[in-house]
Amino acid sequence: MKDIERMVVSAYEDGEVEFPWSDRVLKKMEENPEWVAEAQSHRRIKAALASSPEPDFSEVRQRVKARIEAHLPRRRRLTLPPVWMSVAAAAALVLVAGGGFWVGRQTVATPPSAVAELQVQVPKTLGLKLSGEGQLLMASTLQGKSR
Amino acid sequence: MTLKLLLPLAFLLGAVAPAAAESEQMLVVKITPRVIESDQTVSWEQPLTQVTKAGVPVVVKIDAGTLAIRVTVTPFVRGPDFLLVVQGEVRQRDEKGSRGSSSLQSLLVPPGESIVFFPLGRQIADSDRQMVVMMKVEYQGE
Repeated sequence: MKDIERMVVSAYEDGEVEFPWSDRVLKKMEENPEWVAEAQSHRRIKAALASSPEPDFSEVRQRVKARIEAHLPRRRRLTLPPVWMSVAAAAALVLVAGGGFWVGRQTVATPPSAVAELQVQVPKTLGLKLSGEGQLLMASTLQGKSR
Repeated sequence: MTLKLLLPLAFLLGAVAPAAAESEQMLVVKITPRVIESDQTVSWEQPLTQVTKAGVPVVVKIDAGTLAIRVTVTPFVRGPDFLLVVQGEVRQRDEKGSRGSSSLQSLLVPPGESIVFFPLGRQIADSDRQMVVMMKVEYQGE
């Protein structure tokens, strides 16, 4: 049996051969007991693999990790003189404060897209009466009259 | 290091400059509903401030027991002055039912000048309280 034929049988057993090629594989199996034996061998291997427990790779994983870390350059800790640390802290503070200021300003300065509705409640003890139509006046006119 | 200092400064300048330009268009509407007694003393007031822009109304709903007052102020910029369009709607509910009145008026107001709106009318008996809504419009940042 050729290697290519073994690969075809293996693919067929894994469900990777589609119609009409699958029919041709079946026909080959009917004609050649060697193909049937190959297929049965595949099934036995698959069953054996499915029933065996998952290998424990944790130890191998640890060893590989240790070897990789041994080859990695060590991380250098950032050590700055106190003056530079202060300057860096000040720069960070300015950045944060600037961002906050900008966000705050945007909140106030953003043009309102909808009509603003404000609501107030007059104490119930203060009874008011409707006496006529609304009237609009300049405050200065009113003050002039009241004097 | 220079970059560390310059970046925040550029950030600040770049962010504040456009915001300041926008604020030129923003208007601050100060509205103070007040209840004035017959002896002209103020028995209740609630100052309100709202940032808006020209043409966008600010609505104040005043819940006064049986009276529901709705004052809509729309500021416009007319040259150096503000044109204030004030709409007043009053609805009175009592045992007889519900009745209401509405008015629409406008005034050309110089900046910083206050206007007074009487949503319930001015012709009241001497012994009665009066509802007055004081209004003032300014450019934001003034």
